[in-house]
Amino acid sequence: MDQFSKDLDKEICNEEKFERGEEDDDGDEEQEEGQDDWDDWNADEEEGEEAFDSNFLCLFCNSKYNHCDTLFNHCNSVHYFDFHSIRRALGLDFYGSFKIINYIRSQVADNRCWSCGLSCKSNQDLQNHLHKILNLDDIKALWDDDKYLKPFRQDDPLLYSFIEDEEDDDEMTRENLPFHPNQNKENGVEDCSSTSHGYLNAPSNLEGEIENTVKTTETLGLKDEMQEDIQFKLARRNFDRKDIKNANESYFGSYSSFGIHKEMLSDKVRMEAYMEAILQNPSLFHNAAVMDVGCGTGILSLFAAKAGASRVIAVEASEKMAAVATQIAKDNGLWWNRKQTRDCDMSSGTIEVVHGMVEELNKNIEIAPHSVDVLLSEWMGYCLLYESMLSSVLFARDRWLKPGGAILPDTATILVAGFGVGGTSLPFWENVYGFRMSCVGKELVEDAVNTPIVDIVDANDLVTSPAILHTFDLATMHPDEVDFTASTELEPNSHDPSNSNSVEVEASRCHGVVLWFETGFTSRFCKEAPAVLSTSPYTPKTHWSQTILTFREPVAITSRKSRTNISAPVGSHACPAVKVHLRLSIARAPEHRSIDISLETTGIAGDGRKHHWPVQLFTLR
Amino acid sequence: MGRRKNGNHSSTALNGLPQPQGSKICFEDDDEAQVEETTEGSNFDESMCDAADDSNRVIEDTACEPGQSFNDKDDKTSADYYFDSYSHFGIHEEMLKDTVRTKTYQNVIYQNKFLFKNKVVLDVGAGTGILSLFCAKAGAAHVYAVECSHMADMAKEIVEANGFSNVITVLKGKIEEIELPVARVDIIISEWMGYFLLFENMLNTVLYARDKWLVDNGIVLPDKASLYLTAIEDADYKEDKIEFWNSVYGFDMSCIKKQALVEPLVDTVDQNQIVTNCQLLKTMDISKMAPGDASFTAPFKLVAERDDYIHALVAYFDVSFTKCHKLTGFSTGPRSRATHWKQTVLYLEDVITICEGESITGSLNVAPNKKNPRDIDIILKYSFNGRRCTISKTQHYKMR
Repeated sequence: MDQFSKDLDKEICNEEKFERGEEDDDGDEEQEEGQDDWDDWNADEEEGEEAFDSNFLCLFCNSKYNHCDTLFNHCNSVHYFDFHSIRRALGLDFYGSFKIINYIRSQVADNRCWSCGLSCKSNQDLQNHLHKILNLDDIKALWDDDKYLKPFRQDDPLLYSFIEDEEDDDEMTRENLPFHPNQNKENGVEDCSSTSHGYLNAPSNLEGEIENTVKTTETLGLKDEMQEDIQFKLARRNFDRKDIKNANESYFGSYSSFGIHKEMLSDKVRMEAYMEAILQNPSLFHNAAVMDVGCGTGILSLFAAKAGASRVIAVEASEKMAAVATQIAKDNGLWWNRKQTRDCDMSSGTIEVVHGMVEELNKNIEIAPHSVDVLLSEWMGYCLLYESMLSSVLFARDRWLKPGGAILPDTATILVAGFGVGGTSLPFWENVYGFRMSCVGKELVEDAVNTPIVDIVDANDLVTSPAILHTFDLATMHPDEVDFTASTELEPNSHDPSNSNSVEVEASRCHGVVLWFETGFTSRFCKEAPAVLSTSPYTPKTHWSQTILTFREPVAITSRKSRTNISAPVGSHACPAVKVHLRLSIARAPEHRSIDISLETTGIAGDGRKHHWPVQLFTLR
Repeated sequence: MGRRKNGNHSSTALNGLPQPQGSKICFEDDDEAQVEETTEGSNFDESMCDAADDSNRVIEDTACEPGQSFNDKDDKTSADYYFDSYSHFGIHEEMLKDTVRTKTYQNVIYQNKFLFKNKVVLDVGAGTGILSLFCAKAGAAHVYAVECSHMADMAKEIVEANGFSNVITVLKGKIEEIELPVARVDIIISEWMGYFLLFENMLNTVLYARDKWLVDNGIVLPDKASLYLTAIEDADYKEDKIEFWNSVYGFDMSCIKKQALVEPLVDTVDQNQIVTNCQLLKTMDISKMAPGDASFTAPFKLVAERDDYIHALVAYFDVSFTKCHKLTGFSTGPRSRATHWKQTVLYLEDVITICEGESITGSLNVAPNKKNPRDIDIILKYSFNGRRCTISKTQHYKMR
């Protein structure tokens, strides 16, 4: 530690010199470790990488190798291309290396010599032609073009394997960056014909330039300024990070499923409803056999174990999350160690994590049919049914739940209400710092009339009372009842009484409807403490937000039954509707886990006249 | 402008994800008076926010990054497009509503008309075209507004709707690929800053445009950006965000905590939490710097101004427009009015018990991740030897 402090102090003192010693190596190594750890969690995203390992295609011929080192050795011995030496000699960083590979592949595809540019008639001719590099200076700019950031070969594993020996790279960078004017003095710009022998110590031409400059400037007493200039030049060689970002995007996705679990666990509304249902109903869970469908981190199983369950089967389809759930169960002493239980009769936990789809569970574990007392799941998706696991839960219910067994939650209700202009961003775009930008609002509406928006809606922006659209009884529903059609009517909120005397009460405009859901842990099973999980605009927000369906045109509505203009269409400003009738269907789309929503809207005037709007179809995917 | 955008696949999910407390943008009122203050330069202010957990934001739309743009994904379904446009417009709305940001630009332009009079201006990553409109109104001879996303079409309509078609030319495309009708421009204006100044930013695009088109002695707006570091007491929040995993509703999930520490948190920090001085880490001169200058190692020394505990270091940035008649700019620091950039919080593994006058020394290394250069790797080394506590550590963070 003291050593570290000293180094650190030194570093601070030498800030301008960029003195970097051993401690940096340590740092880099640690970083590598850190990344490895992280990768464990993100195994899903990167699982493709290993598959590529056996697929390193030679830059020049059709040979394939299992490892990039083997490949580069082959390139060196057969094709006179010594990747590592060139990289060192020219001080190629990640991006430079990335580009040279793509550059060479593009040239080889055209049967052109990558170093001298000679066009050959065939790949065979080219292979015969390939030669040692004549002069590094001549070639070093050849691939200095952003277009070589684009992988020439799709899914080229070489592009992200050459960085494995990052330490070399770091050393190289370190040698190149800061100024050691004396260190490399003896090394002139070497004759490059000896490429194949390696260029471990050969400075790049630029370094030579720097030395010269430094010498000159020392003489002139302008050292500092010039050094800045040199740094500038050096820095120019660093690659535009954003360019590469795009080139790589398809390779290194970075969406972390871990983040989603964090969000869900941090969703207090969700957690507290489940916690209450499980922990406050001890008679339901005491000595019960529990199955948790789609356990994720296993939090519901942990609750169930804590509530006294005798056995908890936690089913998780994602291999990674199943491993995480197992680890967490172990860390909390709640993991069921089958071996231990059998052999030593020692007490162990009750949670058994099973990796697999519920539908294929029998492959992995023996569970007697109709042996589960409580079926537990948090299966709800956006708009309740998007990406929902409801059918998996019903499958598990029909196969394993005891007759009369509990299912938690046992009800799910979809509700709806109309929203006003405040639920849109239209007013904002009317006047932006004195400029009109209403075309943006128009565009937003055009897009929104066939695609639901998942976002939070403020209860103050609702212009009708809420209405129940549909309720599922999870204990009794048939699996094919997941798709449904239902109708309901929305009544405009009554106007503020303080306005009731004003000469003209403005009709509100209903710009669309918002959907949300509630799931009930009712007294049918939760006799001691029923609970409700609500995702409504009136209650604290959840990670489900709400789902917004936008009308093609706003519908004028009013709670006052008087004053209607008979000649005007219902729903227009002159004849606002006093009720809005909705007929709404939700069906799982053929496409995996997405849902289709159809919405038919009818405005009903005070005198009973109606106006139907054409049906709107939305797809949430 | 333009950046901070949800990735394609995640946008649905992210829109719906629960925003952690305080993540909804709440700006104070937009009254001009407050903004005037901003322009005084002495009162640098701001920061804003963005869903702290929205880790997948990508800059995609803005000014044109090569390789992939909003429109060139052929397999995009209309729904994808829609979600994109929704989140995209949402981001522009959020940025425009960040009055510290937008009003500062407005003041820079309106109050320094001498800079713009009869000048040719290039707006890099124009987004809705708001900066171009400001410039046109300030008397620019011509403004080229370059935007590579679908937003360019909107910008064209907006320019027309406001009657500036003869002054503003909207060009849709990537800066690196586009051809300007003129060989040189007098002024380059851009709002390129990202979280932590550099996260997924388009600074390099601005530098590219500068080197290609700017006349000698031309002006880049803004022309200075500085990154700062300070230390805060943050027991409650750290408890909530990090220690959370020690006991998730009573269960030990600390195996996840390590990962949580690695991610800097973008969030607003209250100025009363600040325990030490604020150390300047790096100043970038946009008119001179090279793209590689955005990777750096900077030493720091943070001296405690009171006895307290330190749970995290906080990074934020200032931006200034030094060519204005009066120095103008804004800060995204905790002492300034909030902006959508908020601050970037780096939680420490351990709590430092610090006495007034004692100091934490160390260095901060900032560089793009080698494997995925859109991410930023931050290496924090720090060492503290105080009366009540001694610590020396290296921590790695990844903005992703």
